Amino acid sequence: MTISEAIVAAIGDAMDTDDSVYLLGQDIGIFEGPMQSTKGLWERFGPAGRLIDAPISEASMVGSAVGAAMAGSRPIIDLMFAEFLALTMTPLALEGASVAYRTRSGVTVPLVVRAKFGIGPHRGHAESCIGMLMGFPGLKIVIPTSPQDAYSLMRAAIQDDNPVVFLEHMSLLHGARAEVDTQLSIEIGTASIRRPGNDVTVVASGLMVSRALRAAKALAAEGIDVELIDTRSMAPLDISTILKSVQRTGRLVIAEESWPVAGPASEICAQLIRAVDGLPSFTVDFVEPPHTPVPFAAQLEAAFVPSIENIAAAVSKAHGRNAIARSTAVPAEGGAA
Amino acid sequence: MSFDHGTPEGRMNLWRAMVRGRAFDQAMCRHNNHWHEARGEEAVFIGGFAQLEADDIVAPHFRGACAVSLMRGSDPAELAAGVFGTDGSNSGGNWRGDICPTPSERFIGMFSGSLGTTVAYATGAALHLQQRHLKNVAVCAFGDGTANAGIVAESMNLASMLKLPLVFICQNNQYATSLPATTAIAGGTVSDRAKALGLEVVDVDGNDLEAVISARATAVARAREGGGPTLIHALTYRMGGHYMNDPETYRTRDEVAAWEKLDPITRFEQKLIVAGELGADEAASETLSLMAEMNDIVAAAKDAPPTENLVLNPSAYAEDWRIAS
Repeated sequence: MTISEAIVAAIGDAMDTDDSVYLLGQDIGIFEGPMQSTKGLWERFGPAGRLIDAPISEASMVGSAVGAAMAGSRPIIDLMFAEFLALTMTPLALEGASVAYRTRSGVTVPLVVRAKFGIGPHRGHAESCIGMLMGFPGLKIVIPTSPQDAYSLMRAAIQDDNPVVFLEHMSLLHGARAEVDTQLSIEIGTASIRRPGNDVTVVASGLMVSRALRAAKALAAEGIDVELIDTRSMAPLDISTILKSVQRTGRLVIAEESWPVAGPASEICAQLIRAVDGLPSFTVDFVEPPHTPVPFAAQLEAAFVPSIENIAAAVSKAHGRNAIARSTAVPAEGGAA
Repeated sequence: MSFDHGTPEGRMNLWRAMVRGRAFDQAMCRHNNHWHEARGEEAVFIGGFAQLEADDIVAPHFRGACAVSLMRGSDPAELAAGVFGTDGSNSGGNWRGDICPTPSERFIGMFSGSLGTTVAYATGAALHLQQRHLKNVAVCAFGDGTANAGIVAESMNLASMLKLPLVFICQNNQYATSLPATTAIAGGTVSDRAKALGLEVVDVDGNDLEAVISARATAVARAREGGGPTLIHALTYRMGGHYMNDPETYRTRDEVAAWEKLDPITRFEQKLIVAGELGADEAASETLSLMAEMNDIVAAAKDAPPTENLVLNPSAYAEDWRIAS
């Protein structure tokens, strides 16, 4: 299966086993979803009314799903593209994600919002809005990068009692095929070590995982052994897996496609610094886009997103530094460590 | 409890629900500077939400939500504790009870100060009922101010398109804080807009309890039979300010006085008195006694000592509350 097929399979299997699951979104019926996001589901669930073509009204698509979820359904919203998430922030993030907290789990919102993002074959709609989502307590954010993760994490997202934003990278969706074990469970909030290594830890998500993997292969030829961690979910963030790795390698490079301010990279740093009580034993470097909207011209768009070469260069640079863990670093008086 | 306005018992229960709701509301006015008074709008929220089944899903306007909750069996002491955010509330202080009682699977509340989202939640609740092939309905009230929010139009369109078992009630009290509905609702009325979106629409005198009940009964029956959503546009008036400290510079005393004469409780009470179903003295003494009872309950909730059972949970996830509680 491709990632796209795995997601559709997970949704279909969940709908087969739980009739409180329904899917609502624009053009998901006979059109089979933008970029085939619901291919084959119309035949299976359309006649029963469980696949619903929605009008262009993102706030009420997600708002109605929050209401249905509170009442007992497990809705999935196909929002098409992540940039539309900004239209849904009050019902989804400000309110929907607060319901369990405000009611001490007396009422919950088991809801999945699917959204495609990132640069890819579908020109435009590249914005990921991940930092915006991370700011709201109670929301889960999943970003699969393999067919297995896509299948298992979608099943987990549908089962989850919290609203989950399921981000589907457009460059990965119809990429490499792999066998999928439909019985394998993966918990949301667990990172995956895509490549074990000893010299530099690279943390990435989405397309950055596959680019970092290729950078790591190139760097291995130069004698730099990269450990690559795929966060798989941005909230909750599996900081302990990252911490364990960087405490061993002493060098961290965060490769990120989304905006650099108040986003994944910032949060990973903040959580690491908290976890080590302000005394990191590792260096931190970043490969990120500039803090601008995603440009449209193909060349500009390509330059906006970190490339394999950008990642490799950042890792080489980090490797050239003395890892703090391998020195006996003492924080300077009154200054930063 | 029967709220069938076709029977003397039902009519007494309706009158009592209005008086009790106002008693709670007025006690809050005395004890809480942030309270959003509902005086004068009782016919809409009691008439709009009475006589529903326990499994019907309700999403009342924040103005009057506590009265609806009381009518559906909530304990006033617990509601009052929710308003003050103390340990006696069933949200443990996490829920903003001054704008709405704590929600349940059959009671949709407001989860922030934003208006309009509850209309979408009620729409989704109705979709849930339709998906599960249940015969229940959702009833949702919102104000004239909220009628201008985009999500309301989006939700009405979705509800109409899917023929959802849903009744919208526009509780038009004529002011969105200070902006008059006559100014803010451009291009006609809320009813005109709903008609354009394909809804069944009925305009009623929102200070006439029986008119609201009759419109709601028809709309609910239609929704239960798969006939789709209705908008009940109920014209009423907010007797108090937007909230307790409102200087009310935007309207005249004469305007308020004119609407005072149309008070929905007095109007219904007079009908019952004329029909010989309620004595004038009985009405006065029961009103006083309910006012005193609610005042005591609210005062006690306000004066509740600091409690020890509140839980500051560092996580907002559902599963982490299950561990904490």
